[in-house]
Amino acid sequence: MAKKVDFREATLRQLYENYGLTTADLEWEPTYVSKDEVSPPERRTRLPVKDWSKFEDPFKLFFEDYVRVQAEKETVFHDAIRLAERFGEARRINPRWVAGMKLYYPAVAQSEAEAHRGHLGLSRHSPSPALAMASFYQLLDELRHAQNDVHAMRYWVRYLDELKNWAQLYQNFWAMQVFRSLFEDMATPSDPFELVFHTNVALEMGYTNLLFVAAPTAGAANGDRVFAQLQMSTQSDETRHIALGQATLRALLEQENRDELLPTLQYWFDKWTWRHHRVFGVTGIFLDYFAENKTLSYKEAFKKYFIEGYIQGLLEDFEPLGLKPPRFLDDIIKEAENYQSHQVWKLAFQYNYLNFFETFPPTEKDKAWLREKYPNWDQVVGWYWEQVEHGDPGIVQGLPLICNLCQFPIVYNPNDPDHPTNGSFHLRTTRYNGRTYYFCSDGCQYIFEHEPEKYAHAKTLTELVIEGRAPADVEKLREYMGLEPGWGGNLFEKPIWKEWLASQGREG
Amino acid sequence: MTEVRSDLRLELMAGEEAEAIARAVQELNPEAKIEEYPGLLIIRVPSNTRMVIDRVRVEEELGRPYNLRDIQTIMAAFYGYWKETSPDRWVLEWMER
Repeated sequence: MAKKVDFREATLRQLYENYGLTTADLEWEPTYVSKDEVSPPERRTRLPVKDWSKFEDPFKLFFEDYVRVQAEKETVFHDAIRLAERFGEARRINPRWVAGMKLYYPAVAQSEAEAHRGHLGLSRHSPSPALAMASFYQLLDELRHAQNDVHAMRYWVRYLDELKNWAQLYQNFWAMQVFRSLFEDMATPSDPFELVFHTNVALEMGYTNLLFVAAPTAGAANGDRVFAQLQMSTQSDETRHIALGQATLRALLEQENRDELLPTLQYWFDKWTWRHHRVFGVTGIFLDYFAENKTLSYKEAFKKYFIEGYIQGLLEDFEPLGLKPPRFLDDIIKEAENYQSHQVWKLAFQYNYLNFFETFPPTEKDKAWLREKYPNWDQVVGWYWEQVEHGDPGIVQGLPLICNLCQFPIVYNPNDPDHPTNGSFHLRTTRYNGRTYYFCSDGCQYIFEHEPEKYAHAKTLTELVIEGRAPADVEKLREYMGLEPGWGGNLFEKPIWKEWLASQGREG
Repeated sequence: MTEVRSDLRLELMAGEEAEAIARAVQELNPEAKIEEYPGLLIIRVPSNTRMVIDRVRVEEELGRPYNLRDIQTIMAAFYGYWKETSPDRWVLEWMER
């Protein structure tokens, strides 16, 4: 008897082998409305690309299979949440890690929603049907991520009062302006292909593995399996996005007229690698500080994912096609490997009275680990924590100067590596339309000077307070940002930490 | 761009499928190395070789049928270029130079 044919399998094989045909017909001339109404010229790409047949979706994914794979991912994630709820797992997660989750979810949920918004544009206005289809899957992915982050907050909010104000925190909380500025910037690209560069290339090849793969290993090591499963599930979609980024980059760089395209592509590459470095460097505090059980240092994760994967890996393929290393690569490496996570953590502690999540000084065990991973740790921030240990509250009164591009308080000092902590920094300023703008770095200044109109109108929180548009009174400012009494502060001074230590049979 | 070419790398959510895929890759590429982290399994092969995931070998390791497209449900990260993602094998390589 002949072998029984699995008809479904045979159908999938047919579709795979004829993938081009399943997307080719997505391009048609509209008849009920004009083409300009469907896709206004200002929304379409201005890149002079001649041949879109070079673009090919490496996964050749068709909708039926997309739905099947995503449904499986959802089942696993929702099972993880159900089990965690049923067995009260949240109570057994280290409160240090939980403090980090308060910061994490409001920032990432909104960011994913903005990424969804961005891909609506590419999917609709893409000049290539195969790219439109891949982008369509991606916009569904981003929506899934946003919804799952919100769903995780629903699970957490019974334990963590702070998350009930997540939307207001995203709008007004000081540190959230860093994420909000980045993701609103990303949702309003100058060209549909700038979106591919900032999301699929610079972000998803360069940085999301730090956040969605390295950080989940730390989550798992501290008992947070919901976080670990959710973020690895998120990143499993990003792998498809990365393949889309690679394929798009290749299609663009293999055009006969690539020299015409290169200056724009290189600028996007330089700009977004810097933007993401500045913002996603925050991942460092999850690995180096929030996690009590540590898996990788930020420096190690950065080497593994950014250097090995992005610089020595994927970009190596594109150098022969004319793409040069990102302009601020030396500054990026210097900051990430020496002081980025430490300065962010110190800053977060210095403003712990204005935070909704807790921070805390590193313990002796943390310090030993930090010194091993970062030989210059004492020079960078060790002196500060020594002061805190000797009774200095370590906080800073009054808001800091904030970078007019990235919205990060100006604490970095890439041009002065020998004295990263002496309180001085090389402040960059630019005059534009009668106003002085301040920048934390050459990278941020460079971007502003290329596109001043895009960034000149935003005001930092410090500027809003000085202008009287945000409250100058600390209690009122906390309220404006979405904070309630008792939120934030030093975790080690709170009952929840003492209870945790007791539950673990450890001394306070 | 740089002097060192990084390994081809596939990072999978840990579990029996990840382990089966790792063993299947190692059978075809003895230079493959495995790293484990909480919840994560990483397969590396040298940059001048290729990583081949052969469906039949994975099925032998698992002892049941396996649809290679299900790799997408556990794939957390990859470094390389997917040269082939057919129903019978997936191949990860860097681009030709």
